[in-house]
Amino acid sequence: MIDLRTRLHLDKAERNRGIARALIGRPGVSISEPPPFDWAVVVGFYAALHYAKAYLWETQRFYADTHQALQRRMRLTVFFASVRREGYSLWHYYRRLRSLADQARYHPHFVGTRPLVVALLDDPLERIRRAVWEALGLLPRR
Amino acid sequence: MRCQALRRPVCPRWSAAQVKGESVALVQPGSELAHALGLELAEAIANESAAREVWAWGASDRVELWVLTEPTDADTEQRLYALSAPLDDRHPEVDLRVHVLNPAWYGESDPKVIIPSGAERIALPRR
Repeated sequence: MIDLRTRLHLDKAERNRGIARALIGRPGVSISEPPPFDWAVVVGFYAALHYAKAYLWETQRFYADTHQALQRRMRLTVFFASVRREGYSLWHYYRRLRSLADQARYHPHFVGTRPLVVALLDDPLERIRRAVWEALGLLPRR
Repeated sequence: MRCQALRRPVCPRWSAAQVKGESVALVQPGSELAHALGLELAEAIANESAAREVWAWGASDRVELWVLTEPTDADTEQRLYALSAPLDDRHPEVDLRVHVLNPAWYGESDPKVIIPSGAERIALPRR
């Protein structure tokens, strides 16, 4: 049985993941045209953040109240720092998501495209998600 | 106490109060460190043909680095973030942010516009 705080982080992460996907919509069906690809990137990053927080709370009872503290702990945690079969660590994926979210949030020139955002949500975010769910002994939801 | 980036006893970003017994002249806090980290990043990505430019900017409490690329694919973008990650481990005392600026995310705009005017361009070693 996982801790309540872990569960809340996982719920928040799953919710953000769903919102990110809903924001990009489907071709021709979106809340705006063009769809808010920038916000999908931002919300996708916050899904990754809550997956990371869920893992760190469940395994270390570590809670970070700043990005810097969270990232420092991630770098020191083998689960995030170790390079995986595909040649990257979860930390590598996370820092890409963080950087793109910063670019998307603060810079008006950042626009994105559907294929780029879909790939971002399907690859780095999904890899973090699956790794955390599996490490916690849970099956990822559909 | 030594600054790993500059390989000398003090970092420009440290205040004089932190270096007991020494009087430290601070030269543009952060910029010298940013330059040093920019050189490390340029060296780390030198073999990446998609990388066009490296830029560095530092303030007293943080360093930002940018890698401007050709329009490139997700694999190359991810690889550049991975190649820059060892800087985090070598400089845990620095609030370091590395951004890969891939024009593919910027539509008709040039992503270079987001690099602040005070940033320094770092030469990329070509092999």
